[in-house]
Amino acid sequence: MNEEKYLPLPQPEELTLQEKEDAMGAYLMMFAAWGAGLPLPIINLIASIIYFFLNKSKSKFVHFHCHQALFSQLPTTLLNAACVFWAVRIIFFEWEFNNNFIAYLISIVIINIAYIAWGIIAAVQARKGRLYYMVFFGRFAFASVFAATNNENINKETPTNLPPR
Amino acid sequence: MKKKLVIELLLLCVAFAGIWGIFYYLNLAPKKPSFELSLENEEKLAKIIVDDFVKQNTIASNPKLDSAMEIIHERLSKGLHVTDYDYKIRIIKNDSVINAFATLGGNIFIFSGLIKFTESPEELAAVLAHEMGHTEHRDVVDKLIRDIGLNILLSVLTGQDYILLKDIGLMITSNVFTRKQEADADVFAMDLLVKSNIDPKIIAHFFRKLNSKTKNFNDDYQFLYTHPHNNSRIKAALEYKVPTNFKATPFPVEWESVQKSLSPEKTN
Repeated sequence: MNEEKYLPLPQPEELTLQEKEDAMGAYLMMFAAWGAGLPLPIINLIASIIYFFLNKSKSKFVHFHCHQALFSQLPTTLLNAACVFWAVRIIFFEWEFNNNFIAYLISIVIINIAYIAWGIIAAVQARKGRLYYMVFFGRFAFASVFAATNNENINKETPTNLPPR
Repeated sequence: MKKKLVIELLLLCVAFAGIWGIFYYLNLAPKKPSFELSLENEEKLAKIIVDDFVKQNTIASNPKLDSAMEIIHERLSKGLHVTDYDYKIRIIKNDSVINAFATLGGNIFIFSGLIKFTESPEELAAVLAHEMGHTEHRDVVDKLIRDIGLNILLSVLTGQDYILLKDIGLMITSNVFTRKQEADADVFAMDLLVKSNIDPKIIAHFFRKLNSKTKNFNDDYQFLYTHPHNNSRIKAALEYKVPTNFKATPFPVEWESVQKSLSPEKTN
């Protein structure tokens, strides 16, 4: 990781309260469907997309968390949509209600619970001004937001926020 | 960075597949009830139900009709080759109903209205082949067990509850199967027709005529119906691949005179 060039990482003490709260808000979009009162997975994704475009230009810190929240929302939405599609086929088109579907359904429930827990942790860390890295999505967001295009280098002694290991 | 991205992505995919795989291996699906109604019990139950049904309805019978039914029955039985059932076909005297249904034990009832509606013995053979499909797949047994329950069904063998008999009779005559069961019975019928040297596309011709009788239907809402609509069945019949060496053999039956023999009828 150290051989990669990256922009200076914002540290918690350098961030304003507004930035921390805006970053935390990105993770709260996963509850948008609950707020709308509709069990449609797409609502969460739409809310995340809107939030991303409205907030990404505010600061790198906010951009990073919006990016991570949006892209981690994508596979969850796709998996949930596939589950809904499969269930509709079973109910209306006489597809078989079999062990495969039950296993998939339970897996989706577990993944959603894990994602909600993970999102809450990320939201709390964002509110503290920390760069919290989810598996894969954290590294992906970091590369997208903080990758340096010139030869800038950071030289700071034991900062709080570091790149993903 | 890219290498670690790929590794973490693979980890996520493996984790998801692993969770799915674990629950698949645990096999948490409810166990489907096996066919617990033996053929022997089905036969006994069939006798009780059919005897009661025959008492309630007028069965049509005359030499021409019986001979024609025997010819059709024999050809289909040869095509069927191996079966657990001894099929018995009876005609119910009711010209206003265009229908046929299979009951338990290989008993098939056809309304005289259906015989008058068909243009040839091949069309009737197609309908019979379809009902045989339901019997061979044990769809009637499956439906009764699902709707009534096995214990109650077996209690009829011992107690012969009259009200329950009538309920069972009504359920059987309503012949509401699932769309999959109807589609499977159509496929069975087409296979049987080919083996019996009858052109399976006669099914398409029959359903086209039926369509002209029942005009109001919207294909877009078919998924809400409990059985495939005639248009789907016509399409399936036309798309059915007939073997290249297939040759249709017409029945040696004067169908018009068979239809005329139904009225005036000689009933038993």
